[in-house]
Amino acid sequence: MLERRSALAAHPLVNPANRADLSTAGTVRVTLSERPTLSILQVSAFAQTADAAGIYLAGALELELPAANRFSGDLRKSVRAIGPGIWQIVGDDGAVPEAAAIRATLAGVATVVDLSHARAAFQVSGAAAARTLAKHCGLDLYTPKFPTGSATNTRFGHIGMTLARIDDAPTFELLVFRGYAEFVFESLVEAAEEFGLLILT
Amino acid sequence: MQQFNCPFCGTRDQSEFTYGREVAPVPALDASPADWQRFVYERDNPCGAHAEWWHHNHGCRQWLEIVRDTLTHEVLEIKAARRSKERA
Repeated sequence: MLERRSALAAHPLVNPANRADLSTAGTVRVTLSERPTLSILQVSAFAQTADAAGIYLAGALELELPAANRFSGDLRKSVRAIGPGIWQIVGDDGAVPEAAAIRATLAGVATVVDLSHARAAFQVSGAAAARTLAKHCGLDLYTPKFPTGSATNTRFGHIGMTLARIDDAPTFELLVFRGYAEFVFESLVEAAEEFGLLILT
Repeated sequence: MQQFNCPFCGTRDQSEFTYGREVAPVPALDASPADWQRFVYERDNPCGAHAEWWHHNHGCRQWLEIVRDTLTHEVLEIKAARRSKERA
């Protein structure tokens, strides 16, 4: 397996010495971090076999199948229902099965694509996290419209993202195309600065 | 902004969707050039109810069939374009 690296490895703000002017003197109401070594598999069932694919998938992952636009599981291993017959398995290397294993389980009923190297993952957390994201996302991110356990495809500015709310802090997790990682990171820094931002990456 | 109530994702901004075309039966591969001309280029452009295909490309990535009033933007009907059970 290829070694995974942070999508922000070349970004100057990753060096704490370069973000002295991002003041953390006041109250921190948003924390921003990257999850650099996430394992991501996308499962797309064929139209006629979506029901069967869901049952096999839940069994293979030992997780309950989530309702539409929800996820089940935890940070270590989760499965997200992001469309009819479309699931994303997201979690730590080792906890998420290898693509080949899931592909064998779902042979004939669904296709499996490994997106681990194609996405960058960010977490935005804290009292002002929803207000930060609202600058780039049209969804109503507040409970009850987007409670903990929600996961959906939507927009971040002009690009697409998979957005999940993973706890009540609230913490949001963004999966975006890896080539846009620096754009998303800088947009989040700029959006969050006025609320008091702490970068943990 | 106009919003559509996606049958899979719920109400979303129109900016998540891409317009496809008006709903019309796709001609057979051996249909006449005149039939293909009508399908590809000719539009009725009605004032009022209009059946349209939209793609929810920044959401569930499904094609939807929407009957939309072109004068008032009111959505009269919205459903998935897929007919999985019939094709099975």
